[in-house]
Amino acid sequence: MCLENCNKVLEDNLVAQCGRCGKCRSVCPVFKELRAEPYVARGKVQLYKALLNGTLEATERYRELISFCLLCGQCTENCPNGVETEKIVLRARNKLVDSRGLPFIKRNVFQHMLKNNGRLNRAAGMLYLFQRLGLRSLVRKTGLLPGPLKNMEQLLPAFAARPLRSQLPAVINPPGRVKIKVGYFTGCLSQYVFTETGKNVARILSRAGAQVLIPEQYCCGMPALTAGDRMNTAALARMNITAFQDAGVEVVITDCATCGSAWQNKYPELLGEELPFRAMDISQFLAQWGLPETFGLPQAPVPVTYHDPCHLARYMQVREEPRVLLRGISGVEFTEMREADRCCGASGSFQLEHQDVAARIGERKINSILATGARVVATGCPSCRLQLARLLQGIDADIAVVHPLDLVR
Amino acid sequence: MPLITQLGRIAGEHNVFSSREERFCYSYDGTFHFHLPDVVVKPQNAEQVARIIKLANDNGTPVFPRGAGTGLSGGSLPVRGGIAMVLIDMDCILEIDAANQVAVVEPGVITGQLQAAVEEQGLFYPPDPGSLEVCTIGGNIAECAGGPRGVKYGVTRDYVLGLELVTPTGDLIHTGGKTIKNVTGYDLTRLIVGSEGTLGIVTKALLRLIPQPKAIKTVLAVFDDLLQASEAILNVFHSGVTPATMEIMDAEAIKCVVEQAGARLPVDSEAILLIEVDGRPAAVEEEVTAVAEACLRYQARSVETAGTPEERNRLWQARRAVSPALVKLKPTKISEDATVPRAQVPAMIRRLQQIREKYDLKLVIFGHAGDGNLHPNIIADERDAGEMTRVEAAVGEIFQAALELGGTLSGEHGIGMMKAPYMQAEFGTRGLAYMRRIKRSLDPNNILNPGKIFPE
Ligand SMILES: Cc1cc2nc3c(=O)[nH]c(=O)nc-3n(C[C@H](O)[C@H](O)[C@H](O)COP(=O)(O)OP(=O)(O)OC[C@H]3O[C@@H](n4cnc5c(N)ncnc54)[C@H](O)[C@@H]3O)c2cc1C
Ligand code: SF4
Ligand code: SF4
Repeated sequence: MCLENCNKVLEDNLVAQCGRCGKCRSVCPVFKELRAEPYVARGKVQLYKALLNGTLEATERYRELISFCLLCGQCTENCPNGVETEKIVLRARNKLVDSRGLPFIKRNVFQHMLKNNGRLNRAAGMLYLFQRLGLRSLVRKTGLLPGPLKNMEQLLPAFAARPLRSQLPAVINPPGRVKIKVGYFTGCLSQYVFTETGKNVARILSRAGAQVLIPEQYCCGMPALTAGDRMNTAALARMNITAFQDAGVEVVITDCATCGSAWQNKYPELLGEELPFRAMDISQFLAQWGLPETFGLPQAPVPVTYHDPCHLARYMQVREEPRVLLRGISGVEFTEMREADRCCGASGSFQLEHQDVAARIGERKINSILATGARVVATGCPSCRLQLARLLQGIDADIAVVHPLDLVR
Repeated sequence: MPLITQLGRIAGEHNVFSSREERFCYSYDGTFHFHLPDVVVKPQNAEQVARIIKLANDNGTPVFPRGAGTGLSGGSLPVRGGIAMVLIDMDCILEIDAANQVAVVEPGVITGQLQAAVEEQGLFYPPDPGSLEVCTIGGNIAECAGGPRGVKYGVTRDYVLGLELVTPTGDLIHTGGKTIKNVTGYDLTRLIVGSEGTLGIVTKALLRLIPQPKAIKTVLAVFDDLLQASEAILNVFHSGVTPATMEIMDAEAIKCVVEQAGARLPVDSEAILLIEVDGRPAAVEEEVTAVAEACLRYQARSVETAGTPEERNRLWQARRAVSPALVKLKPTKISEDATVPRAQVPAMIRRLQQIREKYDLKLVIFGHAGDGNLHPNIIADERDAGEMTRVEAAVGEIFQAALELGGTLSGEHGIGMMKAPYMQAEFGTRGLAYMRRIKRSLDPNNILNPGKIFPE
């Protein structure tokens, strides 16, 4: 009862913070495309507030409007009142799930598939998610990277032939003495799709003097959370924390912005307690520990630009580290794009439901990329990577999309 | 045929919203009031606007024009249901005529975007409401929006040369033109500016531009005594300088930014003035010295000046931090804009302080001291009914104080529905009746934005 009450007070305070000034209209990417009030932060916050005070009911139209949010955090960053729209939208979605349940397919995915690894790896649930993420349409590599870089860009099939964790030992020892024990949380996309990036991460970590531990682990839970499923996300959080705790890690490393923000922000928030160890994005870790050695691109300088994933830039405040990393790689001619931290439109469940709007938002990002003349765009989030790769492929652009670590050899 | 279908035929079905959820998102603005429209329509051009207004006249349905919905007096709220007409899709900058220094724009153009566009040609559109990143030119014209620069550059009214508008009965007419001088017929342009969407819907505007000032400098002065600060303000003008902006923050506002936002200001000071001068570089140098001297003459504890964008930004930080800092205390911000003649600013501040004490409210004063447009802001919680009653009483007294000091109810936010009950106090029965006759003759069916400006 108290819990319910506290929750209610918390929610009331979250929504009461909005003064309806409308400033979010100047930054919200969804509003920019759809140009109607329900799609901007102010609209969604007021809708949820109206639901809480009984003015509105949880109709299908309401559900649909609440689904129009990238959870990109741009509104919060610019809001004079610091309204946390992303949190409010998650709560709104959570309330819908509590009252109406999840759609059957999502329920299946979140409850069963995400929590079971091994035999269920390629079960229908994963396929559902990945296919909807557009993996099937990525069939070729651009083949544009010069010389030795050629193989850095992966051919992008629906699934890697072998999942990453089956290719790596559970413990990788550094060449010299063990300076630190890190746990590598591979995330689903390095595990099943970008396995080469995953191998790079493991190799660079160990060369930096870390003992890399890769325990059995589960989906970070963000797909479930963004769909409103707090319960399953909290369960996944517990399972992951226990797995890494049992392995005895000092720090958990992610190479996916979304997984990283789950660890850094969402787990403590959901469970109401601090993590028993630190969690860091790989670029944060390397900024502190230094690259083992900087291998450059062996050829004439390649213009490289960087896209800030929302989850890195705004959830984890990681903006400088990947840039420093890229600038430090010889042969990388770093160029900044316009609105580098604007959402690319991928945002997990958003692009599942609103392909057209997601593509339009992505188009603006593509235009920023094209304007730089870069041949390579680096980004620290595999979902952004998929979105960018797909969109660039769609216009036959000669630009490769990589994780920053893929350029470190 | 149902209204919704008819609107869909005119503006396109996808530009008509009828679900309760979508309508709800057009029931609010920057105030804390809510009124649900029966339907929302987004016309795409002037002809559609005219057809919708004709339709509304035939059906007797009220129409509530709306821009970005940032208004602070409830101007766009559909207080009688009806049609919320959203004009943001008409957002073309049709022409920037550099030779005549005129911009021709549609009403949905965002103020800040217009400013950026004319700046590229070395031109300047001065009106700078705090909401300029989102508010529309249509909304600015309807409210006669101002901003910090009002003291030197005037307000929206001073930049509107001509208009195209749809009358309350659905005719498309134009007023004024590109010339600076124009006395042909009644000055309908000025009648429409500030008419809050009650006399016509602006579908195009001809806006006067001026050359971009070449240099700008900022002065931040901290005072131990509010009275001395007020004297300094008057002295700046006496010395022959008209500053581009002249902002004041009172002790309560200073305390708030220090405590809530960590601003580096002496917490025991009573007022700070933030003054900017702009123009030709040599003149700016001279003026900035005069301003600093005026402040020092009246016992400013410290005076800082800045010329580079970064340095100026630093000086502005405390002022910009006020609003965010306030909402950390309580969520509901009631921003009033009763305005007094410049020389009455000290008297008005004293009255506001008395009101703050009498009603035991969190009332902070910051705003445009140079033009007497103080913004007393009351910080409350809309969920606390008792407090909101005290707020209402305090607001009434604020208006009374402004009127007694020779001022006005509103400097720039407009009357809307929120200040309508106080109109009588400013204009008396006859003055109000004269205004009502204008409204009745132009809008016989009372279609356009009924329930605004006039007390019920
Ligand atoms: C944070 C904040 C700061 C602000 N700072 C200032 C400031 O410094 N100075 C200032 O003056 N105001 C300020 N305002 C108030 C507000 O932004 C202005 O009144 C602005 O002009 C409203 O524009 P809008 O497009 O949001 O119009 P809306 O709020 O949508 O509408 C305002 C009025 O205009 C009418 N209207 C809109 N479009 C048209 C049209 N095309 N034809 C006829 N009528 C129309 C509406 O019916 C309504 O009466 C501020 C508001 C906020 C939230
Ligand atoms: S969410 Fe923030 S920026 Fe948007 S209307 Fe509310 S207070 Fe203003
Ligand atoms: S989180 Fe992003 S998409 Fe959602 S309301 Fe805020 S700015 Fe818009």
